[in-house]
Amino acid sequence: MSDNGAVALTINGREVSAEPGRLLIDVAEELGIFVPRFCYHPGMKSVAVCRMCLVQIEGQRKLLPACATPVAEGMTVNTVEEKAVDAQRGMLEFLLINHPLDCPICDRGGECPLQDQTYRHGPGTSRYIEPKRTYEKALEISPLVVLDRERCVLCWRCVRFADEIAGDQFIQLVDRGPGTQILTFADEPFDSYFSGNTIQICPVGALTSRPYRFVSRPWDLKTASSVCGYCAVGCPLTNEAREERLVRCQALPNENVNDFWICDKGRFAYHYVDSDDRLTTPLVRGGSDGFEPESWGVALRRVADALREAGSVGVIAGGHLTTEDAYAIGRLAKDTIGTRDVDSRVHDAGAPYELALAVGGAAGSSATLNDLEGARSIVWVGPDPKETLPVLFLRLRKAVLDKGAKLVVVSPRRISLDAFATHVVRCPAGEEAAAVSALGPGTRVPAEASADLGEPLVVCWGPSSPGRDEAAVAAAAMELARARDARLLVCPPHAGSQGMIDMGVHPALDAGHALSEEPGRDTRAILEAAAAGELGALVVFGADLVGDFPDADLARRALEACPFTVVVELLPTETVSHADVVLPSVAYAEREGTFTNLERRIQKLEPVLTPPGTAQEPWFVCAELARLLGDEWGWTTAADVWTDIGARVSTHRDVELDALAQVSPPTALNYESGYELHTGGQTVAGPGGYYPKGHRSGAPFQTGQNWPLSWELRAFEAKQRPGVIPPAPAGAPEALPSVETVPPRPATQGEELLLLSGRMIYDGGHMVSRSRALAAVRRRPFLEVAAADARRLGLSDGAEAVIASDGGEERVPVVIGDISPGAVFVPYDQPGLRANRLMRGLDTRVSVRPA
Amino acid sequence: MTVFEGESRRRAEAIVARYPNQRSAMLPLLFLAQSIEGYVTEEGMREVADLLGLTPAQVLASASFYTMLKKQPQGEYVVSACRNISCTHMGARAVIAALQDRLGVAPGETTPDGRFTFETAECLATCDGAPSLQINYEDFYRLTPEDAVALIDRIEAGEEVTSVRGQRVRTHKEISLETATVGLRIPGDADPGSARTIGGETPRPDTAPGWRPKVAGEEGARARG
Amino acid sequence: MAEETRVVTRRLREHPGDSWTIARATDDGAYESARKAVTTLSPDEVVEMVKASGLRGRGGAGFPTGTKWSFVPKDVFPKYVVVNHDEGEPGTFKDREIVEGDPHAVIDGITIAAWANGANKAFIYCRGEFALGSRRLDAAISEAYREGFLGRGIFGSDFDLDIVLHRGAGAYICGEESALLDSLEGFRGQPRLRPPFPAIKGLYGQPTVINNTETLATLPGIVANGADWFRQWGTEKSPGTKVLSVSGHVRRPANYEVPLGTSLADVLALAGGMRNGDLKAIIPGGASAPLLTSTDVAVDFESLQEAGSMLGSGAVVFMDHTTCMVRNALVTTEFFEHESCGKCTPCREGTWWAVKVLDRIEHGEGRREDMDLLLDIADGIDGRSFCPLGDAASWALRSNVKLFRDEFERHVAERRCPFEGDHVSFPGARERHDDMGTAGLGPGEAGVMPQPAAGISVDRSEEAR
Ligand SMILES: Cc1cc2nc3c(=O)[nH]c(=O)nc-3n(C[C@H](O)[C@H](O)[C@H](O)COP(=O)(O)O)c2cc1C
Ligand code: SF4
Ligand code: FES
Repeated sequence: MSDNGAVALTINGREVSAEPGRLLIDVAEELGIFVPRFCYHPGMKSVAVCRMCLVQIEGQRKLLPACATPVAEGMTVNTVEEKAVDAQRGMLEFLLINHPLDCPICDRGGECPLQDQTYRHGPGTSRYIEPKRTYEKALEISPLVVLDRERCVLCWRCVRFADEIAGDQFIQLVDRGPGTQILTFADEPFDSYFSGNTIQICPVGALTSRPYRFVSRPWDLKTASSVCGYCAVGCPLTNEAREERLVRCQALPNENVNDFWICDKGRFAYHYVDSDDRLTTPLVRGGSDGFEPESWGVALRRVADALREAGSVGVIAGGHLTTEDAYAIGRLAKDTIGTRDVDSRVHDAGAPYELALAVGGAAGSSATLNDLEGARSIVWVGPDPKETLPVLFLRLRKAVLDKGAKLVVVSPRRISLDAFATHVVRCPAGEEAAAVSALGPGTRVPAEASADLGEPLVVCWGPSSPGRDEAAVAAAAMELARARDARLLVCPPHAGSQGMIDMGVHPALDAGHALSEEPGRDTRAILEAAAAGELGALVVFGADLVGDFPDADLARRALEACPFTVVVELLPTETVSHADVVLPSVAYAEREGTFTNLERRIQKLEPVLTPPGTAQEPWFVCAELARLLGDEWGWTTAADVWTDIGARVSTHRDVELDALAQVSPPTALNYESGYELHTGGQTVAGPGGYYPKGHRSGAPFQTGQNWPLSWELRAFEAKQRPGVIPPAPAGAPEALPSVETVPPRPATQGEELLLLSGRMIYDGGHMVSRSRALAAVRRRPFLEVAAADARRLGLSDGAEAVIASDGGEERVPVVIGDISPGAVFVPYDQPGLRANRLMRGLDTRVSVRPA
Repeated sequence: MTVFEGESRRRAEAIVARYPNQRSAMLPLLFLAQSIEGYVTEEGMREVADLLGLTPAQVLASASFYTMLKKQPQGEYVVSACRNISCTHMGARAVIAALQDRLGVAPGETTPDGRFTFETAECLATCDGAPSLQINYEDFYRLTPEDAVALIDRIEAGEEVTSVRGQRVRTHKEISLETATVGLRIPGDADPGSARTIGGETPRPDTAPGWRPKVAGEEGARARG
Repeated sequence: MAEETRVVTRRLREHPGDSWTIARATDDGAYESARKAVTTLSPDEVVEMVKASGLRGRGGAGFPTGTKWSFVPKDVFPKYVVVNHDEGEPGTFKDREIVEGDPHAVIDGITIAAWANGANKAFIYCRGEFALGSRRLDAAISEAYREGFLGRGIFGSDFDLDIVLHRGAGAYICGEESALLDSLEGFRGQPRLRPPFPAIKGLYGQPTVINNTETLATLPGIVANGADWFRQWGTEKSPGTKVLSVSGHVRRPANYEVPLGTSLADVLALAGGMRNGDLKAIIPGGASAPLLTSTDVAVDFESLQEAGSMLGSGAVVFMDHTTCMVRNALVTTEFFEHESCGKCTPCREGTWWAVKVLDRIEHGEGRREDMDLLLDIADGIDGRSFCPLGDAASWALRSNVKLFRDEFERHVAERRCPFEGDHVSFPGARERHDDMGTAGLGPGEAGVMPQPAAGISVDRSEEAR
C-alpha cells in the first residue's frame, strides 16, 4: 500500500491505484473499462443480484461481482478473458429467455441498457424454445408510472430507490423464484414525489413514463443539459425536445447537488413551456380596456417614457429568472432608473436573508449540500423540504439514515423530516425563535436535543410560511450558527432566488452582498406605497404578485392604483391582466445562462428550444430599456452579461463560464471494454457507431448526446458538471444587521388561530398547474388543525370547515393533524384555495367554524 | 381494526412485544391473521402493516414469499403430499394421483364444500416414511394410494384422526393460530397454546450498549442485500 | 452386522416413550453440561474446548464450530444465538427427530453456545411445517424456565438467557443462514451479501452465532466429557459421530448415528440393505450433493469431497433400478426452482429453463441437443449464483446428466419415459422397520398412546423385545 493510503491493482493488464474500499466496477470504469451491469447503480448500495458484472480475480476460485468487490492491494483483475466473457454471455442469455424482446414497441428501444449490453456482451442467438413467462402487460401503478413486468430483469433498482433513497416503500418485490415480480399493493399507487427516477434508472422498459410513452424515439430527440427552473436546489437535468416541443426531462447527476435524482415536479412539470397561451408578442393596453399587440420598439419606448415621467419607480422580480437577469434587473433599477425600491422576495416577502452576512459572510449559505453528509448534527428550521425543496429532503434523509447525522427539527407542525429526525421540537407557532435559542450552548432545553448537537453542525433555515414574520426565528437560527460556529444552509424558495440576492435585487443589498446604508422599500412596502398612490410606476419581472404575494388584496390594490405597470412574463397571470405593457419572456428550456442554487452554486443552462414568437430574455429587455433611458450596456449575448458580472461584481470576479460548461469526458473513456477485445478487435457497436441516426452519434458521454449508454456510465457524469460556488465577500459585518419587524395586524373579533401555510410540491402556480401529467396527483386543499382545537371548534376529520379572516372566507375539508394548538395550516395555493387571499399584513389570524 | 380485535389484538401486541425489533413479528402476525380470516387477506396485510409501521406493500413482499401463508381461502384440512425425491421414488405420484381423483381437485385447489385443500409439498423431512403427507402439518407415513384415500374418507366422515406421531389433526385455522402463538406467554391468556406464564423474557439484553433501534417506518432504508 | 454409535441420539433411542420430558431428560443428565459451562467454565474455555473437539457444523457447510465462535467480537452487545432448525434439505430428517425426541439436549446446547459467546437471547428458527417439533420445543422451553435453566440468573449464576421460539413459514432458502436472519427480521427470506458475516453483523446488525440443531445437540457431550472423548470417533478432519438420514429403496429407512468415516456400505447395511438387492444411485448428502454410484466410500467431509460429492446435511438416499434418473433430475431441479428465492439471475432463470427442458425429455419431447444444453445451463449457474442454492441445483443437475446420460438419451430416442408405471411400487411402504423410524414418537402431548396412522399397520412387536 502506498503512503497516501491508495492501493495498487491491475485491471486487464493496466495498472491503477485507487483508495481502498472503492468498488472495482467504478475504478475499472474510470480506466474506461466498462463492466456490464444491471443492478449496480452508483447512487445506491450494491446488492449484486443480477450477476452481470462477474469478473476474474487472480487467486479466486469463483468469479466475483465487480459491483460488490472493493479494490485491494495487488489485485489482478480481468474482465475480458474467457471465464468472465463466458459469464457475461451466459447471464445475458438467462436474462433474455423470459424477456419479451418487444423492442420495436418499447419506449426504451434505442436507449436500453439491456439492448446496449446484449449487443456488446451478449450471445448472438438464444437456445430457448420454451414458452416465455407472461404477465398482464402495462399496469398503471401511478398516474405517472407504467409497469410492464414481462420486461423486468429484476435488478431491484426501483425497489431499492423507493426503500433506500425516497423512503416511499410502495413498490416491492412480490412472490419468489422465477415468479418474482415487481408490484404495488392492491389499489395503492406508487405514490412518491420521486417516482420518475425509477423510470430513468430502470435498465429495461419495465417502468415507463405515462407522459412520455410512445412519444418519441431517442434518436429523434434533441437534448440539452440545463438546470431545473423550479426550486432552489437547482438540480441539473436534460431538456429533450422533439420537433420543437419539449417532451421529456431527465435527471443529470451532480454528486454535489442532486446525486442522481430529481423530483417529479422537475421531471414532469414542463408542459407550461409550450402551452398554447404563452405570451409571444409585446402587448400594450389599448384605448378600450383590452391589449393591442405591438412591436418591441413601440412597447419598449412606451415603457421608457413612462419610467422617465414616473417620479418614483418600484421594481419587483420573481424567483425563476437567471443570475444574468438578476444582474440586469439590479443594474437597471439601481444605476439606470436610480431607485432602491427593488426586491425579489414575493412568495418569501420579508425573509431576512441579509442576516446571514454575519455568519458566513454572504447573504446566503456558508454550507454546501455535501456538508450535510459530513455533519455530525443538523438543525432544521423552515418549511417542509419534501414539498418545497424535494431533493434537499433526499439529501437530508441520506445524511441521517446513511451517514448517521443527528437531525433536530424545530417546527410547529409535523413535516416530512419528523419521520427520521433524532429530535423533534414541536413548539407553539410563534415560539420557534425561543425553541431555537434554547438549542444553543449552555441551555438544557430540550436537554437531549441540544446535547446531540455535535460538531460539525449545519444549521438550516428557510422562510417557513409565507405571510409570517420570519425575522425573529431567522435571527435565532443565525445566532445559533454563529455561537456554535456552525455552517449555515439558507433555503430561499426558487431556482433564481439566490441569484437575485447575489446580484442585489434587494432593497438593502447591492450586487456582491454589499449592505447599503439607506435601504429602499421591500416588496411589501413597495406595494403599500403603490396602493397609497405614492408610486409612479411598477416594473415587474416574472412575478405573479396577485397569485404569489402573501396578501393578494394588497397586491391587487397596488396594481390598480399604480399609474403605470409593465410586466415581463411567460404566461397570462392575473398580474398581467393589470399591466399597461406586457413583454413576453422566455422559459428556462429556451435559454442560455445560469441559475444560482441555495448553496450559491452557479450552474449553466443550455437552450433546446427557440422561444415562441418574439419573446425575449429579461436581461435583454433590461439592456434595451437602459439604452432607451440613455445608459448603453453593449450586451448581445448571455456571455456578455457574464463578462460584465465578472467585471463589476466582486464575488463573481473569478467565475469562469467555461468552468461551468460541460466538461468533456476523460480520454480514458474511449470505451476500451471487453467487447472489442473478445471479438478480436472489431468494434461492431462501439459508442461512435452506436446510434444509427442524426445528431446523437459521436462521443457517447456528452450529456445531451448519445445519452443511452451514458445511463450505465453515470459514475463519471456525477463529477462532470460541478458548477462553481463564488467566494463569500470579504469584510463581513460582525453583528447581525438589524431588521425591523412590522407589527402584526391586530386580530379582529373571533380570529384566534395563527394562519400557517406553505407550498405543496404540485400547486396552482401558473407553471406547475399547466402540467397535464401532474394534474392527477395534485393534492386537494385541506385545513390542518390540532385535535384539541378541532374538539373545541366542533370540527371533525374530513368534514368541511369555513376558514375566515377579514380577507375573506374559504371552505375546506378538515384534516386533524400533528400541529401545535393555536395554529392552523392550509396549503398556499391548491386549486380551490388561495391562502394569500386570506392573508392581511403579517401573521394573519383566522377564525374557523364548521361549514 | 377489523381483523385484530379483542383477544387477537392482545395477542398481536404480545407478539410484537416479543422481539427486539417489531418487524420480526411479521410472520407470526401473518399466521395470526390467517387463523382469523382463513388466509392472508388484503385487510389482514393492511392491519399487519399498521401494527408494524410499514406500508402494505412491504407486508405483501414478505407474505408472498412463504408457502404456508395462503393467498386464497383454504379448506378446513390442507392436505400436503410430498413430491420430493424419496417420496417420488417410493410412489408419491400414485398417491398424488389417487388423492386428486378422490378430492376431484388439482394441487393448489380447494374442494367446493371447503373441507379440503390439496397441494403437493417439497420435502417434509419425513423421508423415512415415504411416501408421506401432512394434513394441517401433522405427518402420515408409508401411504399406498388406498391408505391416502381411506384417510380422507375418515376425516370426511368426521372421525378424529391422529398422526403417526400421535398428534390430533387440528383444523387449518387452529394450526395457524398455534403457529402464530406457540411460545407466546401472555399472563392469563386463555389460549391453550400459550397459557403458561413462566420466566418471562428479560428485556435487558436489548437495551444493552450498542443497541440502537431503527426509526419506525424507516426500516426499508436500512442496508439491504 | 454394522452397529450404530449413539451419542446425540442415545437418549431418544433409549427412552422412546418420554425422552422429551424434563423429568426423563434431567434424570438422564440433561443440563449438567450447561450448568458446568455456566458455573465452572469461562466462555473462552468453552470456545477452546469446542475448537479442540474439531466439531464441524452439521447443517451442511461443515464449518468448524469453535472457529466460527472465535470470530464473534467480545466487546459488542447485544449478541444473539440463532438455532437453525429449518431442516429442509431433501432427504434430511435428523433435526426433526432430534427436536421431537430430545428438545432438552438442544436447549442444553443453546445455553452452552450462548454462554460461550456472551449472548443473552437466543432464537430458535423452527421450520413452519414442524408442528410436533415446535410443541415439544415450546413445552421444553417452559419446563426449562420453570426449573430456572432459562430466564434470569440461570443455575444461580448472574447469567440471563431467554429463548424465543420463532416459526418459519415455508421456504427452504430460509435454512441458509443469512436468509434465515432476513426472514427472522421480517423481510423476505433472501440471502445477504457477505461480508459482513453473521458472527460480526448478524441479527439486527449485531454479532450472531448461527448453528444447526444437531450441532448444538452435540455440544453437551463435548462439554461433559471433553474434546478427546469426542475425537475417539471419526477422522482427523471429521471428528465425532453424525446422524445420517437414510431413505429411498432401503429396507429400514431411518436416522442412523455412526462415527464419521463409516463406509456407505455399512450405512446401507444398517438400513437393512436395498429392498430388492440392487443399487443404482446414491445421494450421499441431500439433494444438493452430486450423485454417487458406489457404496465404496467413507462418509465424512473429506472423503465424500474427494469422491466428487459432499456430506452436506448427512441425508443419504439410495435408489434402485426402478428409479428414472430423468425424473430424479426433474424432481430435484423442480425443487430448486420452487425454492429459489429469485434474487439472482442464474438460479432464477437457470432452474426455470432446466425444468422446462427436463420436463420435455421426461415426456418424450426431448431433443438430441438437450443433454448438452442442460450441462451448459448447469455451467451457467455453477459458481455464479449469489448463494449456494444455485450452485447446488447445478451440481445435482450436472451429475444426473453426466452419470446417466444414456438413460436421458433413451428417453429422447424412444420419445417416452422407459420407466412409465414401473416405479410405482410399494415394497418399501409395507416394510416392517425397527424402532428408529418412529423413535421419539411415544405418547403425544395429550398423553394418548400413539395411534397407528390411517391405513398404516406399524408392527411394533419388535419394540417390545
Ligand atoms: C440453500 C441452503 C439451505 C440450507 N439449509 C439449512 C438447513 O435447513 N438447516 C441448517 O442447519 N443449515 C442449512 N444450511 C446451512 C446454513 O447456511 C449454515 O451453514 C448452518 O446453519 C450453520 O450451522 P452449523 O455450522 O452448525 O452447520 C443451508 C445452506 C444453504 C446454502
Ligand atoms: S442462488 Fe440466487 S436466487 Fe437462488 S436462492 Fe441463492 S440468491 Fe436466491
Ligand atoms: S451483480 Fe453487479 S451489477 Fe448486478
